[in-house]
Amino acid sequence: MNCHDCNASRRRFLYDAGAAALGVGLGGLAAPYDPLWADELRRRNKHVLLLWLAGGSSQLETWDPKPGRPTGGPFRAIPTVATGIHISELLPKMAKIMDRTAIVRSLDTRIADHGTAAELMETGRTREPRLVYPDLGTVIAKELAQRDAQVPDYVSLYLATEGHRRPNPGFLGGRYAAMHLNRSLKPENIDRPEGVSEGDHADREHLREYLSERFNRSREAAEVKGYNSAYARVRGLMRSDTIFDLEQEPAEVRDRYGRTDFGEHALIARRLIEAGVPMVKVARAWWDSHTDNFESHRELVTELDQIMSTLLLDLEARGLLSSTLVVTLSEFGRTPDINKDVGRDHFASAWSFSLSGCGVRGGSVHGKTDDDGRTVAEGKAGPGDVLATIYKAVGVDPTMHYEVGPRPVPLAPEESAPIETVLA
Amino acid sequence: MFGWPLLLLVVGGAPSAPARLDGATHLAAKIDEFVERHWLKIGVRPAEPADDATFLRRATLDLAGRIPSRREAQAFAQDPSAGKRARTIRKLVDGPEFSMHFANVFDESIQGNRSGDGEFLAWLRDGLQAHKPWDQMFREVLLGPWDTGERKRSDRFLARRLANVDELTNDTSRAFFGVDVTCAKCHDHPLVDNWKQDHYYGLSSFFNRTYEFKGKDNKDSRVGEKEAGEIEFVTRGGEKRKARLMFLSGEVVEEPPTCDDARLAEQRERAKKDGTYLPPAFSRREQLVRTALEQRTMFSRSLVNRLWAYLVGRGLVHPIDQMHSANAPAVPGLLEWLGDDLADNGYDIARLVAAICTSRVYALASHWPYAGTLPAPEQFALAPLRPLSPKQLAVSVVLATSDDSFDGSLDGAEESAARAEFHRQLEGRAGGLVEWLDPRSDAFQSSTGEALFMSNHAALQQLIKADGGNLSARLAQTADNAQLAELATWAVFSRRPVAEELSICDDWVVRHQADRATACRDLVWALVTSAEFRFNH
Repeated sequence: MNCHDCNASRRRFLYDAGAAALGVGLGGLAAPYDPLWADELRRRNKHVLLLWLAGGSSQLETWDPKPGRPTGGPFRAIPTVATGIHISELLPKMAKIMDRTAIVRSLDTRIADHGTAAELMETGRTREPRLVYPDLGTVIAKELAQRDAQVPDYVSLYLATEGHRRPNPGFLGGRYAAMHLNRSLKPENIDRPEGVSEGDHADREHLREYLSERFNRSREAAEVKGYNSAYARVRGLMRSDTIFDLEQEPAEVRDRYGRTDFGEHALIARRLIEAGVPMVKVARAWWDSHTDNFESHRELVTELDQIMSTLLLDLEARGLLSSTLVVTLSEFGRTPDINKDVGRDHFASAWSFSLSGCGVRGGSVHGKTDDDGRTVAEGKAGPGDVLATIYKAVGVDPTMHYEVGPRPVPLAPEESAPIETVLA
Repeated sequence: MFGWPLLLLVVGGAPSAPARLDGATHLAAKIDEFVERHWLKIGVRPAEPADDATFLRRATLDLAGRIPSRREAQAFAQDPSAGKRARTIRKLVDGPEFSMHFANVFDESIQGNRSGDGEFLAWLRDGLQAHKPWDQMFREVLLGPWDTGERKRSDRFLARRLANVDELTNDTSRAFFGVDVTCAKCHDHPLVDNWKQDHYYGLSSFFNRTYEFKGKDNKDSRVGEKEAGEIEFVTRGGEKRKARLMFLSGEVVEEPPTCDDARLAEQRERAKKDGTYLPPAFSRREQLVRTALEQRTMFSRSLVNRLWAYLVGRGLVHPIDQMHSANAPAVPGLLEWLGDDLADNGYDIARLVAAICTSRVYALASHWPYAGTLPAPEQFALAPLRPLSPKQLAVSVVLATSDDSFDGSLDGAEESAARAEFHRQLEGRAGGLVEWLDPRSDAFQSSTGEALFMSNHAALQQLIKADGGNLSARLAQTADNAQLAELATWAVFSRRPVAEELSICDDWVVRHQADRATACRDLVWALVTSAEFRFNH
C-alpha cells in the first residue's frame, strides 16, 4: 500500500468517527428494488412467542380432558366459546376466548425423556452427533429478523433450575443465538461500563472496526465480516434496555399478569414483541408431576390460564395478535394412567399443544385421542409437523433448505407437513 | 525468501532439540513432498510463507494455547539464525504449556459435548507430559486399568456414557476412528457402501455388555462388563437380525465359546454375594481395542486427520468424522503415509505435531497476494483464519493487557517450570472470561453475546484500565507516540506496526490528548477486540 492510500483510508476513518459522534449514519437504508428487502417487508413485524411448559404438562388437565373415564382425574371439562370444544375446568379464562386459539390433540412424538424430548420438540429431529440442528427459535429469529434491527432477534427467559437448557443455535451458529436471561430479568452487559463515556464508547468501536477492516483487506474473510457485524449491533442493543424495565408498565397491567416470575416474563415478552423482537421464548417450570399431579396442575394450569389469557387479550388490544403466533408447548404430555403416588408419568404417545393468533384458525381442533386418551385415534402428528405448522403460520416456508456443507437440510423434516386444520 | 530445505538441514543439528523429536524433520520434508506434488498436479500456486511474527503467533497459539508475550515476540524477530522456526516448534512441543493446552484440545475431541471433566483433563495432561503414546491412551480410556485413583481418571469417557449404548458406540467411533456411524443405526448409509446397519450394531455389540457396576451399598461404582448379552435389530426390510461382533472395517470376530466351568460359576456366585466385581471371561471391549490396533489404519489415520485439522484448519478428510470410501483425502497418499508412519513410530503424538508445524503448508500466509479467485480450502494453498477457542482468547487477552514481566524466550529446566507456573496463573486470571466467549465450531459465527461482554463487562474493563504496570498504564507513560504504537502492536498483535497504524495511533492519541490514560485504555480495547486478535491467522 502506498502513502496516498494510507492517507485516504486514514481520512475516511477520521471522517467516519466524526460522523458517528454526530449521530449520522447510512445504515438501514436499502434500495427499494432489492428483492431480499421486499421479502423482508412481507414478513416484517411477525413474531413467535413460545410458552414452554418445561417438564411436561398434562394434556388431560388442559386441552384434552377425559371426565368420567378411569384416566380422567378429578377435574371436569367445561364448554368454551368455540362451539363443541371442551377444555379442562382449570382453564376458565381461556374457555372464554377459545375462538383465538387452536388445539392439536394428536401428538405422537415417541420420546419420553426430558432432555432428548425437549430437543426433539424444538428441533423436530433426534440429535445427530455431527449435525446439531438449530432450535425453532433460532430458525424463526433468522427468518423473521429485520436487517439492522436495533433489538435482539431472539430472547429466551428462564429463571428456574430444573430442566434448564440454553437455546441451541446449532449449525446456524452464533449470529441468531438467543439472548438468554437466566440470572435476572435484564440482559447482561447492556449497560455502558463505569468510567467509559458515551462518546468514548462509540469512538473506540470505530477504531476497532477500522482496524478489523484493515486486517481483512487482503483476506475478505466472511468470519471477519460476521465478527464485525456482531459488534455493529452492540450499541443498538444497549439502547433496548428500557424494554426490560417493568417499572415502565402501569401497576394495573403488572397486576393483571401477576407479579410472579412467569407473569413478569410474559409481560416482558409482550414488551419485546411490541418493540419488534421476532422471537421470544418464555419457559415455565416445573411441570413434571410424578406425584400429586392434580394438586400441582391445579396451581400451574390456573396460573397458565391467567397469564395466557391476559397475554392474548393484551396483544389483541395492541393490534399485535394478528401478527404474533403464541405457541404453548411441552416436551411431552403425561400418562393417562394415574400412578400410585397420584401422579402422572412421562407420556409421548397421545398429547396436545395449542396455537393462538397469527395464521391460526381460532376455535379449531385437530386430531383426537381414544376415550381414555391412551392412543391417537385420528390425525396423528409428530414433532416435524409441529415445526412445519409454526413456520407456515408466520409465513416461513417449511420446505425451504439450509445448506450445511454438501447437505441440504429442510427447515422442517422432509416427511413432515403443516397441520392445515388449525391454520387460517 | 528463505530456502525451506536448507533450513531443515540446519535445524537437524540444533543442540537443544530433544532426540525424541528428531524424526519430525524428516517427516515434515515428507509432508512437503506430498503437498507440493499435489499443488503441481492441480496447478495451484500456494500463498507466500507467513512472516516471522505471524508464524510465531500461530505456533504459540496452537502449541501453548496463548499469544507470544511481547518479549518473546521481539526476541524471535531479532533472532537472525536460520533455524529459529523449527527450533521454536520443538521448544514449544517439548515445553510444559503444550501438555496443558493439548489436554484441552484432546478433551474436546474425545469427550465432545461432555468435555470439561477435571479428572479426565488432568489425566490427559499427565499423559501428554509423560509422552504417553496414543495407542496407550486409547487402551486406558477403554480398558483402564482403573485400579488406583490416579488411573481411574481415564474411565471418565465411558463412565459418563454408561446409560446409553448408542452414545458409547457413536462417540468411540467418532473420537478414535473418525467415523460417524449414527445414520447407519436406522438404515444402511445412503452415501457410503461400507456402512451398513450390520456395522452399526456390530460396533455397538462391543459395548452392549458394558454397564455401571455398583458394589455393596451402591459403593465402589465402576465401569464393568457383563458375561453375556446380545444385540438384536430389525432391518429396514423388517428382518430381525442378531448382531455379530463386527469392526468398522467389516472384520467379524468370532467369540470364543463359553464353557460351563463349575469353578467359574462358583466364583461368580461368591462375587455376587460379596458385592465384588468379577471381569468377564471374554471382554468384548478388550477385543475391540485389539481389533482396532491390529487393523490399525482407521485408528492411526483418524488421529493424523484430527491433528492436521486442528493445526492446518481443515482435515485432509473433511469433515473429520466422515472417513470413509466415498470421501477421499484431499492430498492423495499423504494421510495414508502419515498414518503408517505414526503407527510405525510408536504413536508418538508430539513427533507428529512437530512435523506438521515444521511443514511448508503450516507456515503459509493467510492473505492472498495474487489476482484471481482464492484457492479452495481443500487445496491447502492458503492458511485459513481460525477462531481462537474461548480459553485461548481469554488467556491471550490477559497476557496482552498485563504487565510486561513474562519472557518465556529463555531455555532450561528452571525457565520451563516458571513457564508452567505462569501459564497456570494466566488461566486463573482468565477463568472468568471464558464462559462469555464464542466456542470454536466448524462454521464459526460471532454472537452479540461476546461483543456485548467485550464492550461492557467489568472484568474486561478491569484489564484495560490503566493500572500499575499493565499495558494501558505503560502506554500512557510513553511520551513518544511512535513508541507508543510500537509497544501497543507488539504487546497485542505480536508484531511491529505498519506505517498506517503509526499514523492512526498518533491521530488517536492527539485527538484524545486531554486524557491520555483514557485514550490508551480505549486504544487497547480496540486492539484486543479487533479481528486480527480474535483469529489465528
